[in-house]
Amino acid sequence: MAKPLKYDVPKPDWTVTKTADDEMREFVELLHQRGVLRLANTLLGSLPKVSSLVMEGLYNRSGSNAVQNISALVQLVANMPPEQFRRICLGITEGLQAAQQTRPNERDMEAPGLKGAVKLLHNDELWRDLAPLIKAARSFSEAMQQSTDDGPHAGPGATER
Amino acid sequence: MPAQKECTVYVDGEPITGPIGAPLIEILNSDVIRMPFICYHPSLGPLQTCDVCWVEVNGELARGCTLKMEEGLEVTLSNARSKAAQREGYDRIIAKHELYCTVCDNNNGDCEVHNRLFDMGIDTQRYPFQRKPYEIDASNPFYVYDPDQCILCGRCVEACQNVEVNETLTIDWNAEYPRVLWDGGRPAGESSCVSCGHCVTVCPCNALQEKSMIGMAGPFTTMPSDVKRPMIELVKEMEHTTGFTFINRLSEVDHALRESEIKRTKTVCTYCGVGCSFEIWTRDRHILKVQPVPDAPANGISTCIKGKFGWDFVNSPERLTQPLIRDGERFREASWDEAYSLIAQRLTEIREQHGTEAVAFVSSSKVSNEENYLIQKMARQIFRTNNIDNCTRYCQNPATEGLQRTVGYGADSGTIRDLEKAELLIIVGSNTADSHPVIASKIKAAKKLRNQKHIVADLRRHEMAARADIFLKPKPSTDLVWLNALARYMFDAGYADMEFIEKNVLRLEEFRQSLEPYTLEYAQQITGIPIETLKRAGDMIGTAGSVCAMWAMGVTQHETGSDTSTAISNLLLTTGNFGRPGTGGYPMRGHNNVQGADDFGAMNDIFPGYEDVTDERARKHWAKGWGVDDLPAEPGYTNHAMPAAAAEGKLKAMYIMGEDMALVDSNIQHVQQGLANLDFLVVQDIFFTRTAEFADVVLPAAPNLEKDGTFVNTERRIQRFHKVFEPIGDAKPDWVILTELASYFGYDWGYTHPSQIMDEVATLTPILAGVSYKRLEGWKSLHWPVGADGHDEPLLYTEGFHFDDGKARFHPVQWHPPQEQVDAEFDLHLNNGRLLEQFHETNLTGKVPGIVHEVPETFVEVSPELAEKRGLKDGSRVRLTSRRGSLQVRVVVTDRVQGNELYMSEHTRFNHPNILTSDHSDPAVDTPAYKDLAVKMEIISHDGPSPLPRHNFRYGKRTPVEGVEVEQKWQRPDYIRPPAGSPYPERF
Repeated sequence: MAKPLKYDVPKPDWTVTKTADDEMREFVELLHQRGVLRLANTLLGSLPKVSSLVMEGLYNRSGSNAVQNISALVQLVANMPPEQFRRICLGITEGLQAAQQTRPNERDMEAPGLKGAVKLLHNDELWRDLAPLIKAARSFSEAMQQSTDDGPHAGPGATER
Repeated sequence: MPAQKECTVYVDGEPITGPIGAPLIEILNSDVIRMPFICYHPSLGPLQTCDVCWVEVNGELARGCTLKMEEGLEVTLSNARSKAAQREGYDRIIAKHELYCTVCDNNNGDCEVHNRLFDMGIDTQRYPFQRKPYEIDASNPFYVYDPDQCILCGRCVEACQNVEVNETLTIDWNAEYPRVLWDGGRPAGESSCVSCGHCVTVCPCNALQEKSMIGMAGPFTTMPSDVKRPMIELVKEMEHTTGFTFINRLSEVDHALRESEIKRTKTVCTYCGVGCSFEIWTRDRHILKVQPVPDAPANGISTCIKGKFGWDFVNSPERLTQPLIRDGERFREASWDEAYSLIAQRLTEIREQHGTEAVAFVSSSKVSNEENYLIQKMARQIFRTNNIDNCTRYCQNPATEGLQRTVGYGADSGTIRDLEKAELLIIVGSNTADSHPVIASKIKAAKKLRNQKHIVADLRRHEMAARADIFLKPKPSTDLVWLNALARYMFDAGYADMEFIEKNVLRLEEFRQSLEPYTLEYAQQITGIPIETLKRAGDMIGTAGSVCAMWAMGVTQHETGSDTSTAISNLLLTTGNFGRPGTGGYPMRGHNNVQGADDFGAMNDIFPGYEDVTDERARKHWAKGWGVDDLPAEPGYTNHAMPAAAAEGKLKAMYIMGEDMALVDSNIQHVQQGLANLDFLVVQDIFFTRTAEFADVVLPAAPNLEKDGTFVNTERRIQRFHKVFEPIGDAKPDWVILTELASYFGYDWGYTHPSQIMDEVATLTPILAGVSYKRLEGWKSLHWPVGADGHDEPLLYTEGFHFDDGKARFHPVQWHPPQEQVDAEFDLHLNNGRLLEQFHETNLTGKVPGIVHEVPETFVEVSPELAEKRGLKDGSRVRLTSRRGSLQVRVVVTDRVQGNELYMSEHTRFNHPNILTSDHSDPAVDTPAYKDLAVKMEIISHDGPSPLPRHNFRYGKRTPVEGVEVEQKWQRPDYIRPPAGSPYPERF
């Protein structure tokens, strides 16, 4: 006569979602499959040489300029309201498109001649069109002056050299 | 099927060819999306709510989703006016729906709002998104409704009202801020919602979402809300300047990342016999969701609470993962080799000592066809015994018997489509809405949308009865009487189809003579159904153009189960209702593979394909197929007879696969005594069941999500299911266990995949000759009989009946009262059966917290009149005592039952009604008479908590409407038809 017996199933040693071990194993496998590990190993193997090449590239006037210019660009973008930046981007895009569409044989691109130049100086519509450009050039000139005065590293957060 | 006629329409001047009458939107969008849409769904039709699919027809704007293919139709999709209207419609959508796709759990390639953004090339938000004055509703255990994401497309309402036909969801279009409502304004989790999941399945975005998806679907969706929300706000700020394009490219990257993680696998549901198939979405072993698809052959987009949400059992920590061996007073873990060796040694010893008849096998309607085939092969080929049976004995064999007696095949005559097509359904002893919910949805829809008539006969006034045109409430165990009386009435009133009978049916005179006693007066006297009601039912049957009869365990689990099933079939033959679309007999198979377990031979008297073991030709055929000299000619023990044989010492060893017979056979004290008396018992299951407590060896098996195989549903439809996960721990699929075990007996079966088993079955079984995994790929399925060329038969008997002469037979049956009767002491009748939410003895559904939240325990339903008489109320505790045993249970007072009749669900592992049931059975097939049951009731305590929580759907109040009722939206004074701008795009 078999006596009925209870049995408590032990706490499971499996999980519904991946464990950290599973994730790590898969991560390493994928790094391997995609060639990332190979690249990283190669890079690490030749690190002294590669480091030296990188420093050679950076530690000269061009490299220093590049780093400083990129920093300035990042600061500029960070300080500019997005709407203004978007307008500038759109302006540049449209300006470039207009420039690309301009053909050398179009009549209004021909040289105006002396009489024509005098006539243009009296063309109100043309001056209205040019006004923003002139203002922009003036602001640009002022900014250039200021940059010269303040030096290349001035900006938010800059204190002294 | 005749080819559909084709026509050509012109879209933007380009000719498009397709079937006449087909929705233009589906023809156009079959490859790439050309006609933009959001609310359209192929299973729901045109809802016309989203206002995105505008086109020009004859110079007028029209909603493109309403257009059908017709010759010469000219449609303009791409002119400025159409485009402007489409754009206006979409702009209104995203004024109501916040786009944060990368951190949305629905960014999985099937979000219509997201996809249209790309298809339509939309880059800017014209109307700002605005929140609605409603909170998120997370009160349902399985899903969440977020009004801020809801676009009011109404797909959920249409699915609830006209596909599921539960009639819970509506939209109040006249509200200032319309939203989806449950029961007109209740929290979802306290409404009449049955958690079927239709609404979530069809939601085109993330307004309705499975809780199992939330925070789990994408790599960025896991983040906590206090990080997610500021991130969304930041991105929405950026969109003012960047537009959608850049950020939505990120969401496409996110979607691509998800594709590498989310796995979608087709499977077939493992609960009832409807045979719902769907995709199951998983990430690792986490089940993200069950996603039905329109292509699923039995169910389409439909599911019930169990199929949609009842899968937590697969990852239950209670799963068995290691073989166990009884070792004194405990079970200890063992290796497979040790377990197999012990089984082989002990079964061999017992066979040698006591003969092959001392060993018996029990199979399961839950395991696959291939596994049922293998266990009967093990019994017959290795042990040379027919002591093999399965749990369909407990429920369905009487229906099989009734149909085999009369029309030949013991299975449904046609398909669910035939049930939908019938003019009239006779539903006997089938609580379809609880037990076969998706079939219930199909026929409720046929009734609601196409005026199908229903005659429902049942002891309980359940949902199908409440919705019926005629509800017949007979006294318990008297169905056979009114069925015979209606058969006689068909002849008497001139409704009998004499032409059909003369051409197709034998034994007419004998049958008519057998009906002599069954006058309507006699029927009224025995059943208690008034004559006028019987006449009305008879007239409805007699005048209907096509009739299907459905029945279930309310018929079969009686001593007269086979005879009542036969009487149903006789009635259908009398009225000529076989062999035509929309006709036939449909026993509702209770488990996912009841039909397959029988079809593949796991029975004591037949080989696979219903070849009789007493037939010498069949025995020779199978012996040759299996490479043995001969096979036993005598039928073996039925599973209901096995415990008695064990108690008497005739049966010494049993091998039980996937069946908790210590709980689900009747009179379980007797069954447990038999199991305890065995010399050796092997139990193979996914959980440690009550039956396993008696075992010497317990083998850990794998559920359907961890293996490949096929099931046969109630329509005789063979469907393929696919492995989703590897088995956990050391668990193994049943077919692997049986194959490996066979080798310990010296039989090298050599199967490495279930397809090889199916190939063997097809070779040896005529009715399955053309079945192969190749023919079951994708959403394809086959209805047996399947010829070697793959031709199957969805509708049987179109060219004669399954007898040598092609004729059906009337099979006269006579009523006799059951042995188990109420009397002065045992004065109440206890009916028992299913509830929608739970299943069987809760081995599976009891592991699903949301289901347990809905129905935490079993209960006994008591009628208001009996409750008043005995001083009972909801929560009272009573002791029910039968002539076999007694149990305690809490009371629910309800008018679903009447008078001195009680109802108790079988969904419990503790106070199971089988403590009370008897050993009486149907003499024809030995199915226990679970429902012939008399009890007495004593009150233990008058007060107590109600066992059925007030949030259960049974306390909800449905809100039936015709559907989305979009006309109400159009009639609003502030609704303006696109392309004109809307004053309140954020509201509706």
